[in-house]
Amino acid sequence: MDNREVIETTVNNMKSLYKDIGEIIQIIEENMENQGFKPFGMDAACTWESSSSFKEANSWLSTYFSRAYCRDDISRRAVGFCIHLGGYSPAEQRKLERLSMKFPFLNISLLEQKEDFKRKDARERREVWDWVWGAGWYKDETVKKRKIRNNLVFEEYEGGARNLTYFVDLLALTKKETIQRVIIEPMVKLYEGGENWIASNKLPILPIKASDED
Amino acid sequence: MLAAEIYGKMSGGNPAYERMEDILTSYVLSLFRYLNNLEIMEGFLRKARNIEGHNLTVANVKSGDVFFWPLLNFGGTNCREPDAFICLEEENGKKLAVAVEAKYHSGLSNILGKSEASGKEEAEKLLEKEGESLVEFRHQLADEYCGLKCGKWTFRKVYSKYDPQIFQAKAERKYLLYITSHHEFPKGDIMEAIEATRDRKGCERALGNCGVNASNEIYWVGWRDLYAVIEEKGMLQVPSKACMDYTASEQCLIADLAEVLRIRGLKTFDPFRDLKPVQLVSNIIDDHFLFDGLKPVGLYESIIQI
Repeated sequence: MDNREVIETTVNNMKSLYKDIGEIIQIIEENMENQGFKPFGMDAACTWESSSSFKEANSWLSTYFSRAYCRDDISRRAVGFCIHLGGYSPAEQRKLERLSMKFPFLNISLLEQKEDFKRKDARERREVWDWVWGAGWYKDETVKKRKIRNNLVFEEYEGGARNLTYFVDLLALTKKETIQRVIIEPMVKLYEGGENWIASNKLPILPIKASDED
Repeated sequence: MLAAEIYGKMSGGNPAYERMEDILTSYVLSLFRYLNNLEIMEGFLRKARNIEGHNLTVANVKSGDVFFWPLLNFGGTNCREPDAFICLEEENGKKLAVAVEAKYHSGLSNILGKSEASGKEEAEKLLEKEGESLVEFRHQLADEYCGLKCGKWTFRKVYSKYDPQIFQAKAERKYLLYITSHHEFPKGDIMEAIEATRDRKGCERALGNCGVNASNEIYWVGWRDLYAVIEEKGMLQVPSKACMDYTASEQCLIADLAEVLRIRGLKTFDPFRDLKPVQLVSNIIDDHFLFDGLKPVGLYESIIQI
């Protein structure tokens, strides 16, 4: 195989992968809507922060995809997921290695804060997506408390906001029933306060090294 | 497959996304007209579900036909144009009529006064903005359902052994079928249609149980379900036992349709199958500074099998 074929195959693989990811997100979205949830933002966007500048070639390719949801009845909570394909910075990769996390994976997170979420606000959506992106693994200086139990990560931030996160192997999502079982149902349960439900239902979530506990 | 052109749906006056939708509708539903054996189309209809989770009951279809883009008039809904009207006759002589509203990329064309609204949320926003004095929210599926039950239909004359007016007036069972690209049952659209039927204002013929009937008689099926039926019948393998029931030209028609569905991203959910391994790089020009970061990749497997 010469470079020409490598490039052609790589580009076709990326298109195919993006199409599959789009379908997975569509399945999640339609199920969440059927459960009475509404997405953050007013459109179907799921990528952010990629660059179109020739000076930022490293940021051209979208490698993470997120959507977040809430219901009108509990406006200080949100649930969301982020699909991580890889190609992260060495520092970010080290954080993931410490948790034994391998690409490609998803994190599914419950977010809670003291104020109401502004679901329709574009800036708020971006902030929520940023939060979902790093929830459970990024652990910057704003995280004040962190606990790992039963492969679930609990984090608390300055000001009292908190999140609860678990991880799923992207390549395990080959059936709609699996998406329903490991993403939709747990997301709804988490939102409704069923934090213990996740641990007690022995979901096939990714194991996390507990050594990161503090 | 000629219907879209015959009915003038390919003209440049229509937006591209509408043409895509009309052509797909014409490709798929024409099979009711072109196939001698309607088993695949029966299977497709049987995949349809209503809000109660019940599948559409259809069995032993003797023959059928489809009439595209009829016009219907029901109260203030004279502008409605469902995508198709399917006439089916069962072995026992019973008649079944199915009005079809098909979508590909676009959403429903709901109407609020003189404005179009794609959903109830948008309609409510318009209502807030423009005031309560506007006429009520008119839901496309509700209009077509009411039209199916009590409306006046106009069909274009085409070669057929069936008279759709007879089916419209006398069919034992009548259903509205909503076909979309969704993976999951579009609960919001269907619920809104049922509520709009129940709450229809100024309808002299409205029965007390219109809303209840609508929840039983409005069905949804995905384009992907047709691909699944074709796949389940083994029609994508050559040779297949199922192919024995179809002529060579029918097999080609079905295989081509499956390919169109695949190209349009409407095949059964089956991710990560199309990824190709990338082999080691051997460059024809050794002295280069670009592309030296490319790495070989093999097919990967899931860590956890669920």
